[in-house]
Amino acid sequence: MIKYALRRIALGIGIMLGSSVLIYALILAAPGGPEQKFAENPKYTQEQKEGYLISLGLDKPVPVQYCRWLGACRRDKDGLDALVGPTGLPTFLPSEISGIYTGILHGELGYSYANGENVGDLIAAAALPTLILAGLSIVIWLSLAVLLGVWTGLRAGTRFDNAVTTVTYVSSTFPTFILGFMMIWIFAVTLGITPVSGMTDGRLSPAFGSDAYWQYMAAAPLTAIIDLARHLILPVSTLVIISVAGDSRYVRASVIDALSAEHVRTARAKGLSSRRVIFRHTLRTALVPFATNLGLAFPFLFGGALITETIFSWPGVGRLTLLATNGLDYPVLMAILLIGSLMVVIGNLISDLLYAVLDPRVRL
Amino acid sequence: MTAAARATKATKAQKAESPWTQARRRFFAGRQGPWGLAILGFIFFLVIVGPVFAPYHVGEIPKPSEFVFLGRGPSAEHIFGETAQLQLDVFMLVVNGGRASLFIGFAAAVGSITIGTLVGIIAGYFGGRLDSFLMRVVDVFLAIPSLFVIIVGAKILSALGGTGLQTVIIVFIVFGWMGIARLVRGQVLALREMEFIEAARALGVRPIRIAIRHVLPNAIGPVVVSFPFAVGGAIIGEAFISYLGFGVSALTPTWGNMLSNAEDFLLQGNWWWLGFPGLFIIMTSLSVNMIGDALRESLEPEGRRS
Amino acid sequence: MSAAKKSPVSARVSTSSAPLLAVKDLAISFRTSRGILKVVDGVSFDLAAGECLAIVGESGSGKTVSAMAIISLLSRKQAIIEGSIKFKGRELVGLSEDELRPIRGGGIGVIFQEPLSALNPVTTIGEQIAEVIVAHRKLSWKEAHKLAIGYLEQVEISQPDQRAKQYPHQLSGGMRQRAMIAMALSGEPSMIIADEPTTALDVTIQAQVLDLLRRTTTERGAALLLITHDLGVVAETADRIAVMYAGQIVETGKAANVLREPASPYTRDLVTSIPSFAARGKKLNTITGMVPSPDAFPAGCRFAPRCRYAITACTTAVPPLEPLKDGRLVRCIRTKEVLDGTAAGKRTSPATKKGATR
Repeated sequence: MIKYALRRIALGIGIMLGSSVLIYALILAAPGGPEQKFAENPKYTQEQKEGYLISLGLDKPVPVQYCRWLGACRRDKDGLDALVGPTGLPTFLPSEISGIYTGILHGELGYSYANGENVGDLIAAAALPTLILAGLSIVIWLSLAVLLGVWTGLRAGTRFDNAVTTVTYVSSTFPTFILGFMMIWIFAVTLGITPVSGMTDGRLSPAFGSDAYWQYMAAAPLTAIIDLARHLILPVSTLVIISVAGDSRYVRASVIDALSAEHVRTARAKGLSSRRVIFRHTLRTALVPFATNLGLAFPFLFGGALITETIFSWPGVGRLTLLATNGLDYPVLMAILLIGSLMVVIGNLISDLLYAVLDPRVRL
Repeated sequence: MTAAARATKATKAQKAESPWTQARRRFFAGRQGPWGLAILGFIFFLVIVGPVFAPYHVGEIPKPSEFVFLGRGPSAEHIFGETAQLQLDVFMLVVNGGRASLFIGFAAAVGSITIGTLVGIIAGYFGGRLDSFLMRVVDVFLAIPSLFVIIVGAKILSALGGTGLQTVIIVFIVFGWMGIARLVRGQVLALREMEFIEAARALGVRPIRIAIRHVLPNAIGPVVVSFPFAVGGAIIGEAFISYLGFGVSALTPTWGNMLSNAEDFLLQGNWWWLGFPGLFIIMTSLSVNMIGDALRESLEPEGRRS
Repeated sequence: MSAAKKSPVSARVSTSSAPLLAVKDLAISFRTSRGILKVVDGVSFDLAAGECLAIVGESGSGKTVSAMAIISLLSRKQAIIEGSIKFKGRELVGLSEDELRPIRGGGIGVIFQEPLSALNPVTTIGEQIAEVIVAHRKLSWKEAHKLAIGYLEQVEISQPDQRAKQYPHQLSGGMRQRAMIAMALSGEPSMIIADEPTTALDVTIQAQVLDLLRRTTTERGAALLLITHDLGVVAETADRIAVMYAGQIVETGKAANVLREPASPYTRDLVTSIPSFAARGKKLNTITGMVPSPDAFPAGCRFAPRCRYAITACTTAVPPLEPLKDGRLVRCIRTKEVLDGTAAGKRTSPATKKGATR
């Protein structure tokens, strides 16, 4: 088990390195970096421009630039010396050990082109609203998907099952943003019972996440939470409807598969109570593949709500991404893509390990 | 005895049918496949033949009347209503936008599936280091959240001077081939071990002939199944990134651009401007999903899931 | 055969005391896309306490379906069961799942063909045995787990306490089937249904498992209903035999008699197609054609199209099961000619003759 986990972690690190190269290459190909803006500015002399490039390390070959950006190379040394930190240990080790504080490996994500803020702070501020929206949606969606999938799976072929399956089929093909528009049109515009978008009511409360907001929250917690909940209704419902539609069908199919499995017939032949036949012998095997999908829900917590956040102007990571893309704010974009990949890799790792834990047949 | 005779006849007829004929029969025997085709066919018909029936151009402003801020709802003259401000005919916008959207969908699907299939066959057939390298590349591409990188990629391409449709198509191809590659590789690997391939090899059939005559036709099933899903994914994806303003330039009507322009007026009651392109996106998505599911069921009748 | 010696109870087969299991006129139909298909028709047999009855037939003959119908393991949505199945005098046809529960596992244990798929892959062997004990005897889980190890010991699994903690995929095929037997025994049923219990096993361990099955059931006086296509298994194990073809019993009686001198053409073909039963030095017999599918059962005798003895009369009406002098029942209108060897058939008489097994 431990060997298996270590092998999977090693593979994950390799994939992360690969995606960092890909992301670096993507941004390298992109126009509009600071050096370009600098180079186009006629006020600077050629010498000043060269000095600027050297100060950024842009005179070095691309692999060295990448290595420095990553934090595996020191910025003050060249050649093989650059791989060893002041403590005499390899540079890629944590800052406390290697004595190196630069590069993304050591948490230096850079500063936004747009407003000069620390990228880490920007992302952290955006991550909380996303976490609230995605986390709440995941909890509701997973429980609903299992309930609905098991319920229809155990009653496959009945009229109830046919009705539910048709509805989930059609809604699973709905594009998220169209559903979002429909929700806004029906509930916010026509019925007027929910806010159209945003995370807080601007007339009542300060912007979410600001210091003023937390003071407001402390002063009137009930009002603040009700306001937040009202704003959560539409985006959460949108995410839940789309995801439940697909996942409950998946659960239903595995329940039906499991019901016809021979070991379930054995359990019936043994005269076990129907509760034990269903829970212990049918669902225990039917839900293993679904449970391993929990790992795949992990990256969703960070970036899965991009579409929904956009439609409902939710101030999360998705919106930050759009703003950064619009402004070609590369440090922010690179950090978001990297963290997103890291989440995917960790999610896959969780999924694989969970599978190994839940299914004893998996050879480790 | 007649029942028996009929039964033997039926089995004989089944034996004589090629797998493709059988799959076609199963496809049309179900409900999903024919209905999906019918819906998609209707959309195609409207989008391609629609302009012929329409008495006006897309940009035609009905009357140089006084400035109207809000549009007008569906009427006999404008069955899908008119847009706000410019008072464009929404039906014409949907029809013209649909041409671009469907073109993007099919072009992106053909491109990503071609590349994916090639990579998959190369990796699966040659195996070894090339295979592991290609699969690690697939892993890396899959690790980056696709929607994020598609948006960033589209923006970068257009910042580099790419315009119009090809930007969007390229982005969808570059970030859309991995799933197919993995699927096809799996198929090819499984097929390599199959007895009939081994038999062909043992009989001394040349590798290239094995690949073309035996491996390709048997590996093509999942590729065919994934095609409609890829088309649907690209159409929805285009609509979304154009809605965000990172896709096709706002001057070319696509369904996504219409959503983007119409969004503000939705709140003021102009539901038709956003509603009709939205309806067409939903119908397209539903129909390609139905076709894909029907294809899967008719090509993989034992309920094999990959 | 030594079966009679092993199991003295079999001598009482035809005594007046009610049998343990009495199946009468069992008919099983399935709702399919091609309409309702009757796959088993007019099947009757008895099973006395401690006795071993083998139901023999090719795949598709309806033997497994008949056995599964006894404790209603067929899908209730698809299968229609008609006739009567009496277990210890109680009618089982029409019972609800709740009413059947104590009988399943507690009254009648089942051993399935493929232990790897019939055992739950994600539950330990010990747990799977213990849950039977908990379900049918008023014992705690702790006691049940202890008892489970005892049952594993009884089926001659070494290190039973270790094996109890393992999962099915960690055991060998033979060991899995032994665990399955332990599971069937653990409810202390008075009857065990074994559906092709050795088919999935290596030839070398088939005999061991069969012997174990016979011994453990005999030891506790439990009856054994053995479903098999393997006549070798029957000869070694069964007291009586019922041969099924296309959903009907074509011949039933004492195993020794039927195997020595088959009276129906089908049994005759079956017996002579097996190397160990066929006369040495003669060519092995083969049965031409295939078992018809339920939607294409021929009118009249269902074996007639493949039968070397068939005459026109065979194709007009289904022959009834007629008794012979030795007590067995045979479904063939030409039994006399077949036994005399005077029947003229479509094909020349096969290598078989009386005494093939003598």
